[in-house]
Amino acid sequence: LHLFFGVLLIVCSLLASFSLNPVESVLFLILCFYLSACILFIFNVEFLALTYVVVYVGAVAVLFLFIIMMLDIRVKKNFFNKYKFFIYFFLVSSIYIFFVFILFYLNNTFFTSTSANVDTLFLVDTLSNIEIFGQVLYNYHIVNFLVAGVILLIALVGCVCITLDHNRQNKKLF
Amino acid sequence: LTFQIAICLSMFVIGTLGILYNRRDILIVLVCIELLLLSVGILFIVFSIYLDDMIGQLFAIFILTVAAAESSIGLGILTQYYKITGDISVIDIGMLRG
Repeated sequence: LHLFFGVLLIVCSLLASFSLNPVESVLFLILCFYLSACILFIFNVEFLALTYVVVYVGAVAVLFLFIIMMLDIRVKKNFFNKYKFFIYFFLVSSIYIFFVFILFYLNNTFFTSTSANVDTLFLVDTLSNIEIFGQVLYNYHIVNFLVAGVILLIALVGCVCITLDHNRQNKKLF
Repeated sequence: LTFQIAICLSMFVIGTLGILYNRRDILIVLVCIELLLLSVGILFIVFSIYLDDMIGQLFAIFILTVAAAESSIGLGILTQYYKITGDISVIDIGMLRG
């Protein structure tokens, strides 16, 4: 089943990055986020899957949709700068082909070894994904958590500073 | 597992090529940056499940946080750019140089 979602992810990301209409790109991006959440559900990390839906689709994609709503986006002609693009394409694809070669063709047993025997895990006291997150994040990685909060604060203040207009006359509020 | 890594690697490369290809619409560049971060996040989670370590999933949440923050700031800059020029084409942005 994750093969199906994976192939659909690749197709959607291709269409998102290479489509002519920016509105189509954002819609395919939303589809990519939703498919990645489905894949994460299959891997049994339900908290992360729902977090991806809520944060990525619910906040980031909604931001993109607001931008599309507000800006007048025209669909231009396909301006295809051939030679520069093919140089980049071959550079990036060489790295990609190198990794795919390592993955598929070298007959390494590193990835194809048998997975852990999951049947015995359910006899032990199991924690759900959210509980594991709570135990690890707040006990050992509290500093990272607070730094993430500071990052969000800086992003918030930065957005307000960027879109603040100094020339507007301050009307009285009360 | 192998196919999952191949999927995420493909998404990463497609995102990179999308950034290099879309010089005219900076909105699609931001979309491709989100694709890059999504692929890296899924890769972190897949490896953390395989290696039975929790730090991968934790770091995927932090990647999510940073992605949301930078997309919001990027879109704010895009809004201001549109206010000034009235268009979101960045082909002639080299003319901003004094």
